[in-house]
Amino acid sequence: MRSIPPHDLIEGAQRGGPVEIERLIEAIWPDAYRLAYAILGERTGAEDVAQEACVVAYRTISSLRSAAAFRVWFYRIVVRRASELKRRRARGEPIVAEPASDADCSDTIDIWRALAALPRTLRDVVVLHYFEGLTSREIASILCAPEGTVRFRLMIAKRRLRPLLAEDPDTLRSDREVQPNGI
Amino acid sequence: MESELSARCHDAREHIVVPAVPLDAIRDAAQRPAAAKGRSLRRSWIAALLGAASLAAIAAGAAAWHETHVTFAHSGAVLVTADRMTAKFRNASTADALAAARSADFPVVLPAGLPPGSRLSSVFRAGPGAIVLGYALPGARRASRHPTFILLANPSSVSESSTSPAGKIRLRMPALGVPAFGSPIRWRVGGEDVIIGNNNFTPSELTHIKHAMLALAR
Repeated sequence: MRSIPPHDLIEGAQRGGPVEIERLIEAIWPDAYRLAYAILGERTGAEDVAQEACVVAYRTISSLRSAAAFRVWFYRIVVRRASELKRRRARGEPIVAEPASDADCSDTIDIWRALAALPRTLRDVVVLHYFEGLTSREIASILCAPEGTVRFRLMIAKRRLRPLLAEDPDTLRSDREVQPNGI
Repeated sequence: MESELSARCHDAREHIVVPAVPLDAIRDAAQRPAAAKGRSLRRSWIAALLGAASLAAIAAGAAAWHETHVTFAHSGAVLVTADRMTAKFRNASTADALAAARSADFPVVLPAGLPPGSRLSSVFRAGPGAIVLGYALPGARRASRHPTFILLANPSSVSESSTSPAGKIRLRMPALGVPAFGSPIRWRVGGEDVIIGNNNFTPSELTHIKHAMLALAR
């Protein structure tokens, strides 16, 4: 959620009825989809996850104590749903990184392939930090992990991404070839 | 690298084509919670009833036996099977351990010489032939682990076989701290077998416990 929905929109949804909640859902949908896509690397799953997260937000927004916590709260829902789906589906299958758009942008394709080569824990922190612009404290809160762990994972992820992004895309390693016990 | 990676990620994010928001589907799914909740409640009731029925069946089937069996899995875990089992978790006291000792069919020597600060946390009575005592050991490292279980059993209930009788209530003492495919720590005190499944004790503590229990038995 590079652009956080305005507080009054969140507070309106917390206090208001379906109309206000749907207005908020419309505002957060693109971010939910982008985040889910970045974690999963495929469109169908991303749409399912974003939809499920929006359903959860629709039902439980009234229980959110503070509008300021909305971003972390909603991202946590998306990340958890995406992780669940990934666990259910993957079972050892590498994620097939699809280009996110029809535009032939080789840099963009490189980054998706490089992300697909990262283990799930590293990919999540990279997505939340570099795609969504979250701080390590916010990521720690979303992933329920210590802040130091998040920073460490970011450092390891950067170290692994460096050669991947420098190499020829065809030689990128698949998910299975990456140390499963990495982090 | 940092700024380049940020720029590439940002670029990749911007290239994601976002489909239209499926508002109708979200609204429909969000407005269905009451029915789903009702169904899940019904399911949990059915599951609870089925569970109770199976427990009753196990108890009825086990009524013919009045024995306790202690067996050892290949992994090193200790399996205790009995027709009747009672348990007191977390807030067990010495009085519970003494009550369990009184109802046992063997001369019980309760664990002694444990490291200072150890706290009895749970007491399981597995039929008349075995008592399992769970202890929270002192120190941050050991306290954060699973409780340490000490099994006191009638030697006639302990079998070297790895197969435990079917149809009885079973308690599995984890094999933590036991070498893979190794056997748990075990010694005899008078007419009682002492078995430690997950060993969080140091070797000197174990020796001390053993000597203290032997002294009590004399």
